[in-house]
Amino acid sequence: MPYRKRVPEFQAVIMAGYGNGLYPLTEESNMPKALLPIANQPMISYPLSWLEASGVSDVIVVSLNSGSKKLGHYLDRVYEGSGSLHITLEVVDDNTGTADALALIKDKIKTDFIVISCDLLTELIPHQFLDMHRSEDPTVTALFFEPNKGEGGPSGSSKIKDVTQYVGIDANNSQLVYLNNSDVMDSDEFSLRMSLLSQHPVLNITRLLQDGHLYVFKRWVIDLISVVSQKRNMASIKEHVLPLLVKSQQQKVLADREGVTKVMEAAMAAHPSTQKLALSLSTTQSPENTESEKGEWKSPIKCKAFVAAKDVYCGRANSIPNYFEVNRYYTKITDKVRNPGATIQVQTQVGADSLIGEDTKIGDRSSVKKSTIGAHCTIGKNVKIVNSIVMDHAVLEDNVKLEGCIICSGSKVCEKSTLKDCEVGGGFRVEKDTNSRNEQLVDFQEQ
Amino acid sequence: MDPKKKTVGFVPEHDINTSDLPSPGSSNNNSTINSPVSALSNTPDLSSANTPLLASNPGSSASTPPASSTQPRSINKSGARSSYEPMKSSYEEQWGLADRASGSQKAHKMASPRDGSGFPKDQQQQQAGKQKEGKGKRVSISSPVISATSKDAKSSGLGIQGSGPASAEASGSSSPAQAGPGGKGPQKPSAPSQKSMTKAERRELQEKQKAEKAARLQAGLPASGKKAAQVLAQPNSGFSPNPTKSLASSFPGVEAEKAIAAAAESTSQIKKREKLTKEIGLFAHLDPPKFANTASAHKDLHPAVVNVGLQMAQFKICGANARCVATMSAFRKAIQDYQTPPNTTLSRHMQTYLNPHISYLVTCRPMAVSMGNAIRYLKYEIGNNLELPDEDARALYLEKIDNFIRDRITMADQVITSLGLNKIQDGDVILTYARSSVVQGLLLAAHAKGIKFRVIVVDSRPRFEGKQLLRALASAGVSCTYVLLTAIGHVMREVNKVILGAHSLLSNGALYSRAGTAVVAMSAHERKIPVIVLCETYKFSDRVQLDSFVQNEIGNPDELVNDQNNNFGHSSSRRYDSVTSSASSAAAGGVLSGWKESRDLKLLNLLYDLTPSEFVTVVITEVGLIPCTSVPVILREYLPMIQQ
Repeated sequence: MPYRKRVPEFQAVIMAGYGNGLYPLTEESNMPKALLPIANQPMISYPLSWLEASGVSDVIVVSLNSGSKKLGHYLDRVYEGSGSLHITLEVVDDNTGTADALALIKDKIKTDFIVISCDLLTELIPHQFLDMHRSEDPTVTALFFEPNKGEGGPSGSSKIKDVTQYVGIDANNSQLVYLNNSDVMDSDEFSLRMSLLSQHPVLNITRLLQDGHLYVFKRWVIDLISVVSQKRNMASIKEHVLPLLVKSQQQKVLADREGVTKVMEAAMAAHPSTQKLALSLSTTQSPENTESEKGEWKSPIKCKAFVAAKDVYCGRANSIPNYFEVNRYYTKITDKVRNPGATIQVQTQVGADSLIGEDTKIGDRSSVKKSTIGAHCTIGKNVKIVNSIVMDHAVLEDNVKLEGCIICSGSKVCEKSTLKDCEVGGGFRVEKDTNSRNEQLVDFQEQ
Repeated sequence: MDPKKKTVGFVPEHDINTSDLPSPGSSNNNSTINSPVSALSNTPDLSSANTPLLASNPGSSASTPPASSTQPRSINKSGARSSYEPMKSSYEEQWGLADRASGSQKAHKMASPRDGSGFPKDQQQQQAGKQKEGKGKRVSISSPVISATSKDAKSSGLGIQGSGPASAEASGSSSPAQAGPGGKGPQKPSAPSQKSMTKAERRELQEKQKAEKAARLQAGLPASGKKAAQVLAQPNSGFSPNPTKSLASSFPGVEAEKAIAAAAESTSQIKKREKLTKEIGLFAHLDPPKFANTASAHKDLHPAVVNVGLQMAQFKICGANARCVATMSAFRKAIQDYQTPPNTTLSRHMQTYLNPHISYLVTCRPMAVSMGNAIRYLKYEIGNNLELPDEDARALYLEKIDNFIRDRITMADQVITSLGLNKIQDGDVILTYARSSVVQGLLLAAHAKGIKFRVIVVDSRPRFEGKQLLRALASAGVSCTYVLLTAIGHVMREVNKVILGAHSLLSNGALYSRAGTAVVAMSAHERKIPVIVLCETYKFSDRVQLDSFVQNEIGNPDELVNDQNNNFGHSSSRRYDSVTSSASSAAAGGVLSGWKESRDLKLLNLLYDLTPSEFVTVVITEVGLIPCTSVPVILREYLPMIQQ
């Protein structure tokens, strides 16, 4: 066995999904979701640098089959042999659930593991989140945040209503005790178990919080996940694993039936906790009375919720409005040079809140405001771009007006077109004098 | 007054006179020496203990930069990148104290020969000019406190102390305006903020200064003609007339920009640190409370140790036994997972491997005596077995750790419990303070044995450890009473035994334990109630300590602020409060919630105190019942055994 200086604490799994909410940007002709640019940086680079800052070195990127080639190229090109990250790309079939995917890479996970979605962009300081897991030693720690009120998404065409979720967190010890995906409950009332309320008398239930898709799991949860994924098709972490764990905190019958108890006890037997004696001696810990007289079952499972403070930016680029919002935020705060190596004619105005990629050429009398423009684009004369995202290699001819649009890479907008709140798919050609609003302009592909 | 009398300082006057008692410390007739911890309120004692301590600080600062009195700006420069703004009050207070104490030093400084060197006129002129520039400049000065870096707060504090009187002297004669802001003495120097300015801003400042200087000259102000001529001779030189200033401004722009970036990055951290430097003068020599997080932890540390450090810092693992066991178990795990690097052997490299782990634990919370002893033992074992093959050595170390935990802690506790059982009889009313794992074990064992007794649990803010003891006892069915320390005088009437736990037992027989223990022991002693201390021998220390000032631990002062939803400084859970119920938590904060903003308010949260040996009747250890003055004997007799 080669010498390793560090004993790895966490492994990380990045879920690079398809991005249903981002259609048509994630079409085959454009690029996979993980590579969509945010402030001219591929989306996946943000969670990767977050992980790097957190000290995790062993990262597994799970990608669906469809975009895996492009993603693999990118990871090889940028991260191979450089930095402290050791990245492995795992490709799974399309239509694999997140839990299924984890079950597939089960053997590669040796330690407690972090699961993070590739569309999570956050300024949360990693150790704040991880320290909670370290000191509380829960089964799972999940990140929740309050979504920012955007400035109003410019793109109205593909608004998917975010699924709101009722989240119940014990106010005293931030234990996550209640989760309910509200797509099943549309009425004004919902039910709670009385036992839940008696165990957690001070309970905050809110629907303001959004699941950050950032979890830290104990190692044995991977065994549980493989059990769960065998039972269900397309099992997902958010919809199956996490609720199961949360419920297992109170419901002994459920925990036994679903095999949670069994899996966990096996794991505990194999890796006994090192600090059990110390904790039982500690003067600030409440005395262990697992066999209390009431015969109450005390679950060894603990789920914790870390709620990000309001002033810490968290965003998920999982739908087009959110993507817009996240991109706008990061374009605003980026400390990179605004227009490195771009050729901009003198009479063209580029706003300070815009970002222009390398080698992009912009003609006379154009103006760019609140927008992000990728590399190698060609922009003609008298073009107005407001509040838009133009990806690499796009061509905008003279007199084009864009407002609230996303122009995917390699597409071409011919002269005198006026687009408002539109998404133009990869490689699409918008004919001249087009005038459209709220449309998705995509090459139709026979599936 | 007899110095001996001070011992009784905090105990009511009608107390038994201590001088009659044969106490081990009584041979020592020094007044400060015998004062018990709680002599906090003993003012004469306090000041006498205080002065030598503080005098050293200003003394050093006054002597080190003698140039400071003549060249205020040079100080500014040296003090640049330091975070003294909020420390102002505390240090001034120190200075105020020291000023009186060390008047001679000040006089010496005023007579400093430097004053006679070629400079003074110039300097005074500059000083005057500085004041004339007045508000406009001061605004730019005071705006960013950001300029600080992680430089040691203390050293920067010294720097200011040096500058404090200097500027005060100067301003005292020349302009009352400077002394104006609340008599707050040291004016904010300009250089630190310069660092945080942009290039343009600095330039602007320079231009302004130049203009003002010129105006001053035109107005026919005296002196500095030479300097002024220089300035006039090279108007576009870009250098300011002040030599030190020019040095500051001639820094490469890159460096300045770096400083800005660094400052901006660490702003939030520094703000936090600044707040914390509200240190109490008397305890300034102690480490400030630590807010460990794993951000600063070295990446190569073993996760088990990292976690334990975090848990100790957050007081999740608290208590001498628990901390010792936690440390040893974490090290056990680390040794288990350890891999020998090439070209060395496990036993030879083990110490090097463990050292960063140990220092990490110290950064989390000052080391407990128990931990120190355990680690020393482990190191001793490592050093003793250097020639073993790797796997044998590993197995040996693991075994030694297991044995240590078993023999010195687990089994010792069992022996102590069985010895202690003889001391508990039917009908006893036992008082205990806070929570000790051994005391809890003994009381539970006594109850299990069928002895009918009652327990009074005395507790105190801010940690309320007694509540957990109460929970354990009550759930076992022991009859309990719970009071806070304030009610000690009242409940002591019915008590016939006091049983206490120990953090450590020192060589002079003093008991070092949770703050408040001394009060309990002393008030029991006053009523002639036996005070029984339960302490394993591995907690014995060869240290000698005569009061709780010299060595103690300062806890997070915020714990004192709000005891309603106190979660022991756990930031993340508090964070949630701020998100959801910010209104309610603010309301629950109480009167102390804004203490950091209040200039004159400081909070002191001491964790330990010292009970002099005369207040302890007996110590129950695993080697039998001994008087606490026998600690050196045990250390002497058993040290060889311990180390085998």
